[in-house]
Amino acid sequence: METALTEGRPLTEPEVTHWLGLLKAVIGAPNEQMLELARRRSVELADEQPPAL
Amino acid sequence: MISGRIFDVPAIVDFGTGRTQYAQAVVWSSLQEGQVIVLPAIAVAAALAQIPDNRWDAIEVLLGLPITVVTDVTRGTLPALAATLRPAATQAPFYATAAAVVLAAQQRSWPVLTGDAGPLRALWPDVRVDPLP
Repeated sequence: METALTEGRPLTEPEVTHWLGLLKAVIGAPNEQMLELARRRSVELADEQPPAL
Repeated sequence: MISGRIFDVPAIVDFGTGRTQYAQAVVWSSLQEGQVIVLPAIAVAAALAQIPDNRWDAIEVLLGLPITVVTDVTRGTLPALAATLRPAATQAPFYATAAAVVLAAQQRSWPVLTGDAGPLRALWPDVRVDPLP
């Protein structure tokens, strides 16, 4: 099951806002320290070369 | 280019329970940045078995996000899954969930968010991991 994103349709800003609101309703506001770590790790992982199979 | 992470069982449990709040932060930032979360269906089942019933609503929301892809074991994926399981030899029945996670990581060349890389590395030593704090 693919998602709109993987099929080439980026999310619109209202969609992101809607889904963040829903997420906040069930998990609460994100931990800022963890959010910063997640963003930093995303950048580091994107810079890594994927291993060959 | 689209990027993302594969969620292993500990990551899904962490999202549901909020133990470290890291998995929740990863989902939050992925939504903001347009990154994909891949959930192997068998890993979701294994995680739900460890999450209190009153936290299943969080997993329902995770499953329904427009950045979430759920991968299933189907007749078509069986050969690739079996090849991924081969290093486990006679222990293969106990590595089926790890194999589904590793297969997703191999197919998309994305890292795995996990708290226990051991079973993944037993199947694929080169798997890239984003460790839970």
